Amino acid sequence: MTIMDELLSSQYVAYELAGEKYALNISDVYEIIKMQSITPIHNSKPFLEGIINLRGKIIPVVNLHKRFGLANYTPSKKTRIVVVKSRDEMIGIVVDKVSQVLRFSDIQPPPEMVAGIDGSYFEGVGITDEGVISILKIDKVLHE
Amino acid sequence: MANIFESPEMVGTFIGEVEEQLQLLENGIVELEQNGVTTEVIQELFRAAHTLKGSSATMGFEKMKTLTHEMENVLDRIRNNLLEISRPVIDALFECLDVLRVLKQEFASDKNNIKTDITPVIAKLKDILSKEKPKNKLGKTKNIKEEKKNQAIFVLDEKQKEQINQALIIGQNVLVCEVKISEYSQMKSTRACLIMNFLNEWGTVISIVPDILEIPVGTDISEISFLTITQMSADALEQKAKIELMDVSEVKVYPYRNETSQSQIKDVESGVQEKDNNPSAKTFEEEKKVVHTVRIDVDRLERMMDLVGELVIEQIRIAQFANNLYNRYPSDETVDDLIGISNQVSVLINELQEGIMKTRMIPVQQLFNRFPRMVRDLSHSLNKEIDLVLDGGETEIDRTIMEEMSDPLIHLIRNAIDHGIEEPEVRRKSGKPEKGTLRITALPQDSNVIITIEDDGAGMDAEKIKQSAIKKQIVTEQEAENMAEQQIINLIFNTGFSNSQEVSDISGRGVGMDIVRTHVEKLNGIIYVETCAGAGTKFIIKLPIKLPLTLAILKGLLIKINNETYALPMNNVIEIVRKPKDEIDSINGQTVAVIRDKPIPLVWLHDYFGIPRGNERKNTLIVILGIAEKRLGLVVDELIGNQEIVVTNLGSYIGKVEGISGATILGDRSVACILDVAGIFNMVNSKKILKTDNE
Repeated sequence: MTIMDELLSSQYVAYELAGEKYALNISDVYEIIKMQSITPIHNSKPFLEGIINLRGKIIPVVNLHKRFGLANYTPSKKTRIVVVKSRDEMIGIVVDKVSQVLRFSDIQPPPEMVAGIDGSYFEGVGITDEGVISILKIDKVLHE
Repeated sequence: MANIFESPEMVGTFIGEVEEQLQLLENGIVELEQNGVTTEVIQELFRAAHTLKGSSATMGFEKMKTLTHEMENVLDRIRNNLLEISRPVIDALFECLDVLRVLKQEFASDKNNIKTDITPVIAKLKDILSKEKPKNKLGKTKNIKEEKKNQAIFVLDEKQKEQINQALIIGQNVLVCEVKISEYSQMKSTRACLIMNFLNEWGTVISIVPDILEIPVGTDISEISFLTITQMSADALEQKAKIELMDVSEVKVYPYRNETSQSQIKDVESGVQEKDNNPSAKTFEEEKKVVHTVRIDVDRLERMMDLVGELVIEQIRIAQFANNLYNRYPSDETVDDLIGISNQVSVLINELQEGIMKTRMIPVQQLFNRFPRMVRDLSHSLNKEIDLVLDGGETEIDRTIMEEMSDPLIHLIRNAIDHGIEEPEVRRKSGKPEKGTLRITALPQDSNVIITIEDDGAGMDAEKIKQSAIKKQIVTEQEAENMAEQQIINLIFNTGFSNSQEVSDISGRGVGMDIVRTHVEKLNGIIYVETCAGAGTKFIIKLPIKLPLTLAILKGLLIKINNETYALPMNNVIEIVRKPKDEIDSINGQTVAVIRDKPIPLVWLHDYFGIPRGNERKNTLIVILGIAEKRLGLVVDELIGNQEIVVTNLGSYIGKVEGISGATILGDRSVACILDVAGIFNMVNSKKILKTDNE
């Protein structure tokens, strides 16, 4: 149960993709920035949105909406890029909104499908007073 | 015993020194074997062994000290003509070297865990020592000794030589003081020390033979030579010594003659011949040229190189920002100042860059030093006789390039010895000297270094290569028939080609000429081969002297394709033209524009990137791109201009993207992709266009 203990003791960043709530372990999150213009890279991974300049460093940005087959985002004032550190590289993720930082009182193992997405992409489902939030396995989502 | 000799820096310095001295020993022994005993070589060897002994003793490295001490003994006998050079002696000395190398390795990895047993090799040395030249044991020895003993041979290091030079410059005398201690003296070594103290009162003793400070107390010594720097004349010192010294039967003082004059003494007995005709001039120059050097860890140098690379990049960014500011506030003088400072910094950085590049240059000799022993061992094991000639060792080249070239050169040398140079009988039958020649030269030429490896062996047989290439399906029979001889010879550089009939220990271990070529090309070099059946083979390698400081900066042409900004490497841009719509034709479905009487195929990257072509305009803007003799016209929507850009790669997450080599941050902080021209050519040749409905 040590993994679960660890999951429970962590803080999470909750965000929204196409109206659905998701969370990332705060230790995976490097920084959250406002949406900016993304330079497209054609002929690369289908869900690669492009590249941005993060204070002099060029980092890739992925489109999880495309990755999970959700309705694509429309940039708004609330759109953010969550920069995560995955396998020693910084990667941005476009999210519709970052809602809060929180802890979960309980975390359940993921069901087979979570909101139409394969359950193996999730660490588990966190329980809060307002409902459930799916916790992403960010390495798996980005690299597999 | 945690002392300063335990520190990694000390160990590093020690290992560095050992490597250097071992290299000297190796070269010396090879030369000894080839040319027999010459005073310079034996002195050099003795000095190297002596230095090794000294530094290993300082480091508390007993085994190395013991071994080098024994080597010193053997070398001393050779020097004093008591031991003849023979194959067993040379072999034993080489064996010592090998053991020393292993010791060095062990010391570097764990100094408290030295496993190598040095007793067998020591036994060999002792065995050699017991077989002294018998004839010299008789009366003749004395004669030679007397003759040679005109002056004891002082082994001097650079510092001592410098001391002597200094003394001579300021008009002091450098004297040899030969003292015979009386037979009745009870404690001769103590007496010797007293004599040294006496001489030190009137001058400075810089060297003693035999070294009374090192030999154990109580050893029976009778004749001692002191090398002394003093204000006194030889006669005055002799008089003084005769009066004041006790227990001394004979004192002789005379001015010190350089070891060069020593070398001119022909030793008739051993038949040693001096090859060098003007050694005095040479040695004088060597002594005069005292270079002050510092040893630096290569990693630090690499680090500095990286930092300068980054500095250059940042400087370009500063310049870009200064220009942006100027565009925004053209009348602000502060911005002018900023641009001025930025230009000044840029000049300084260029100089710094030059300086760093220079520190990385080392003479090719360092690489050449690895070859004599290798050639010797190889030729012995193959029963071939080979004369290795190394030329142009003083040519300087970037150390990384040199390191990278080591393996390819070794491979070429092995090939030349294994496959090139024939066995002595074969050579004799074909009217060549039995001894083959392998000549390796380095020559600077503009900003390149030309390295050639030339043997006078059998050469390559084009027919054999052709058959082999066909067999290995590198070319078809038909292709081969149409090839010129040189083209066929060049097939040896193809992957999967190894002409060796059987795999031997020496060459043909699957590491073929293709690896050599890849290595050379990786360094932006060119390799080609000239061969003549029966007369030999010559490999010519052209390498840049310097590495590019960084591949990270290039002159780029910024263009727009459907509102996306891209950078094109300027060195692939041949020209930019505007063509009216009606001058663009289609030939066999390929859109072309005739530019300077040549039809150039036009490419809309839009189609490959899956983006709309945009509205057709009256004039089409075409950037002509070229690689070697190939040309294509890239249709662009807008030209922005050219500027220096800093290349950043896309990182491993994105990986390789066809047609794009990296990205760059522009002055307005936005990001633009850099187009890979070679990739575009490939794309155009192989890929189907994503969208063709625009035609």
